[in-house]
Amino acid sequence: MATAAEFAIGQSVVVERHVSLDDVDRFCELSGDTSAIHVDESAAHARNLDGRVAHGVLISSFVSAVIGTELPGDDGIMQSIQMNFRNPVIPPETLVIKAEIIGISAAVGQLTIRVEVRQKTDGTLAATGEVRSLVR
Amino acid sequence: MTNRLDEIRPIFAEVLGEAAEVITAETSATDVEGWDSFAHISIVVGVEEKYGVSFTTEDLGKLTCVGDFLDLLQQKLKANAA
Repeated sequence: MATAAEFAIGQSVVVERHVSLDDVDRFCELSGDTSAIHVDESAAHARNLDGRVAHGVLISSFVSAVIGTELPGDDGIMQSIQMNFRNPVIPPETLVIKAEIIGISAAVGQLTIRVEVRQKTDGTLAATGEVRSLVR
Repeated sequence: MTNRLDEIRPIFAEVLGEAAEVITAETSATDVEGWDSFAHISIVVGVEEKYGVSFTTEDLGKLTCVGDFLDLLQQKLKANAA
């Protein structure tokens, strides 16, 4: 079992994750969020979007996967996640997710992890966020 | 002490979901329903980040009320300034 002392400020991981329209459809079914911009191409165009939009929370779930499997991985328990969605993600797209430790509280064993999600196609910033994870 | 209390009240108020005015030096986990172990972690980290200090695992046992935080914070800030 890792402790906070085994992590370092600046420690980071970068993970790529492809998101497809099939992922969006499956997330609609799983979550029940069938808002028109996620399921209807014409409705998305009517909102000046280039196509159906991936749910922001779906993007957040990819961040959860990075936190849960990479940094800190198995030793962490996510305490909070805050995400800001900066630009819509229109699948198919590959997302580049960077997670970097920006704070460590040794006393309580908590890591503060800054998250940045960019579209691989053109580098557009899709989302930013901050995760707090307990590792003790 | 009073000024410092005013400074750290918002940390407790935000984490505990209470009005800042009701937070006193005597306020403790037994007085506030929302002051559970997760809230305690958020308060500790909130104080650490606001003042750039680090508590230790041993310190945690001393932190049972707001006044305890104030006392220990004062010690940490004095040590950092020395």
